[in-house]
Amino acid sequence: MNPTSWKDYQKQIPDDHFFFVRSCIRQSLFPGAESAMLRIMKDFLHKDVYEDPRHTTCTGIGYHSDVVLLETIMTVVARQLALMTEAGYKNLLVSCVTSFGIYLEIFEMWHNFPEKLEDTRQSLLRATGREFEIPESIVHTSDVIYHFRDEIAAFSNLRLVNAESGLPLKAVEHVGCHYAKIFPSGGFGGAEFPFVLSGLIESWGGEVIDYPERRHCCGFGFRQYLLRENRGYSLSNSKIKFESMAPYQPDFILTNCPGCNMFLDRWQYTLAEMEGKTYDKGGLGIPVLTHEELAGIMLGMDPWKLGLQMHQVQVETLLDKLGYNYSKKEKYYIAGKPTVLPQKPSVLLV
Amino acid sequence: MSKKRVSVIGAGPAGLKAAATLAANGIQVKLFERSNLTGGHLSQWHTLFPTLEPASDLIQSLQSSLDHPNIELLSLKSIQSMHSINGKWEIISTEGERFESDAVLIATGFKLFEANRKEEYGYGMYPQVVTSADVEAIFNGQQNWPFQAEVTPLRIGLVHCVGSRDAKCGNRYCSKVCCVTAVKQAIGIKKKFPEAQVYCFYMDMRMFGVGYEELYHTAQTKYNIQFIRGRLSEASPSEGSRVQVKAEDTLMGKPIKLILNMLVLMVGMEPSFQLRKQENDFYFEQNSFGDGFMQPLDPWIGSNSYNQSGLFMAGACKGPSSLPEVIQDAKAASMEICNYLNTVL
Amino acid sequence: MSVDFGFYAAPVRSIDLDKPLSSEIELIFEKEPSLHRCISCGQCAAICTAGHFTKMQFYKINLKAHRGESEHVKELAEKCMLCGKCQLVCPRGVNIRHGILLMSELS
Repeated sequence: MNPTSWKDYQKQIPDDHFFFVRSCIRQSLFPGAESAMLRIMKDFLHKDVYEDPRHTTCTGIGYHSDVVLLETIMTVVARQLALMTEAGYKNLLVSCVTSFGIYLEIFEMWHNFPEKLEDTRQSLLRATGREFEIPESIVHTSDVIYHFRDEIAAFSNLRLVNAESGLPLKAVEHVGCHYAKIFPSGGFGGAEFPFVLSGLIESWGGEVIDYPERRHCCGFGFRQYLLRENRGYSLSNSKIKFESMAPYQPDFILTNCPGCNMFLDRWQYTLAEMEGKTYDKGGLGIPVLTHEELAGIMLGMDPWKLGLQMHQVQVETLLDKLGYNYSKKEKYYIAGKPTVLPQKPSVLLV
Repeated sequence: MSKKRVSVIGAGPAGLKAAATLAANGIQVKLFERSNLTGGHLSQWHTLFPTLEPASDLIQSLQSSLDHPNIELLSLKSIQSMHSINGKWEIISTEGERFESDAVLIATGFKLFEANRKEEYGYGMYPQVVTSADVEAIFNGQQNWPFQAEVTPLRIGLVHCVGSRDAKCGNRYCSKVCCVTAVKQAIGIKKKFPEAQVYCFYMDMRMFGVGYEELYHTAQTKYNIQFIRGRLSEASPSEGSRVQVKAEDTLMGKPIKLILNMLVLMVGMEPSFQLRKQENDFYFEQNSFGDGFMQPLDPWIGSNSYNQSGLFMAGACKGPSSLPEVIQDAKAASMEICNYLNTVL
Repeated sequence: MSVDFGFYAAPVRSIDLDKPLSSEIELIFEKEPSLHRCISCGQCAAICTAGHFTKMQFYKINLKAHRGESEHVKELAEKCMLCGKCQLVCPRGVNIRHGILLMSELS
């Protein structure tokens, strides 16, 4: 019988020398977040983070949509690991939560079915002439931010409190399903009570609101949203989450998965246009941030360089509550010059 | 000829009844108890099913029988191991003290499943989630209700089979008495809070004993307790210090959502100790995941004997049992021990 | 003006026990409290005449009424022929025919 319960489970995180692999969705939709992560690791924490320009998508979305075969994704993952081995790194740092789940799943498969590992080695050799080693550790970027939360806070003179009232900001967190629900040992706190995000918010001065549907999936799915006919399923699941968190009037939502972030952000707009309803009092929606964006804000980065204008739901309400120093009018400037503003939605205020 | 001596390990209901019966038959009894109280779990209960009479009557009756010249109670003594030498038994306590007797009766009973192992129910995290043992303590005035008494509507749920019939907890067996305990506690709650809505989430209603099915009927008709067939998936915190539960109503074939002021987990029984034999020694050890109860020689005639001459067992250490069964078992074990001592000595 | 994106949010199908029962249903239970005794053993449906040809299963509509899902209760109750065989066999003594008559009178 385990003496420690899952909710106190601490994951082992290496301190340095990471091989970084990007996220398809995060770099397409929220590119500022990903570059902020690298900036934080290199410029603030002075860590060695290596990024190979030849690395690719892990094809997780394709695999989960039954478009990419199991053997194919194993070989693609093997190629990523081959690049990592070539560069001499042993710690894999993954930006996307789905990707993180894919790597864990494939390592588990290779561990239990060594013949699959052998087949993959042969496939990779035939296709690219490369060889690879299994990494010593695999962590997600939110794990690393959590691990270094005190160091990041040391650089910051910001706390997650309302600048006017002095009360901690109310935050709601949403951890991606692939982070710890598949392999509880892959996440801080196991499957039921992961604390990688709530721990961040609390140590940075905010208050975490535990709402009834905290564990509910955001509905991102993969095949559920690729086809328009199926998208209602994704929308309905996010709606369950919004209905559940609305009574608590949170100041922002924190996610670690780029897909969850996109959907919790995007569906607020969709539901507002479809049903005329927003989940905050002011009709502006609840801002949704990723862990890198929150860390970037703690470090005082310019929100528009951080890419927060790419979010569907505006972040100005949150920044104003923090008493943040930023320029409202430069939101849609590119290279210092004003550009065409995006079209305004009819219900959601921006 | 010197008096026959028996060591009884455990002063719960089985140990107390056995000690009294053996003493009345002229046998010197040393009764070992690791805590400083006798009565075992019974001393923490409030009422007994199915009659709903107070547990204190039975506790007093069993404890008063200790007042016998043939019984020596040794409290705060934990037993580490025992072995047989030349037909006699030697018991060694955790402090190294040695005690000799002609036979040994194991009456170590059960412990309750630790509810925080079912982490999705949030025991230990949400104050509104309590176990059936906590509810008995609340009725006994030792703990407070985890809600304000003036709350309306007051909604309380009871979940059967927590830690029992559950391969994921390592306990595939049924803990037998939790169903009737749930009905008993649901009625107790309704008597205390007549306006409350009480829900029992069950898989089966195991009302095996005399008067149990009638108690179930009373719960439905007189107290309007709702019985929902289906499991709970999780308890999450909700506004106003309540918990939101998700369950399946298998008879309706639909999920259920309900916000409760208190959730009671009917925790099952697990064995207190494992008995491990190493060469000639028997050690009392902590259980590991999936360990079952102690096995007697056979379930019928040899149900009080262990597979070793002079070693006997009675009560819940063999498996989940109700109080009448445990007391009967103690009487039976005492008879077996008397017969054994007559043939051997 | 609401935008049509080509997909919709699906209605949630879980039973919300926090919603109180309608006053009509509460009245039925008040007039016939033996309806609470049902344990869905299925004996009534096993012997039911109407059950051979229709979806009428007394334990089912009684359970639906208890859970607040009463849309089809009246319609199904009206399929009963009042033969009374169910009441002969009910092990819990539920007054099924009275329950049926009350349910047929729902609006």
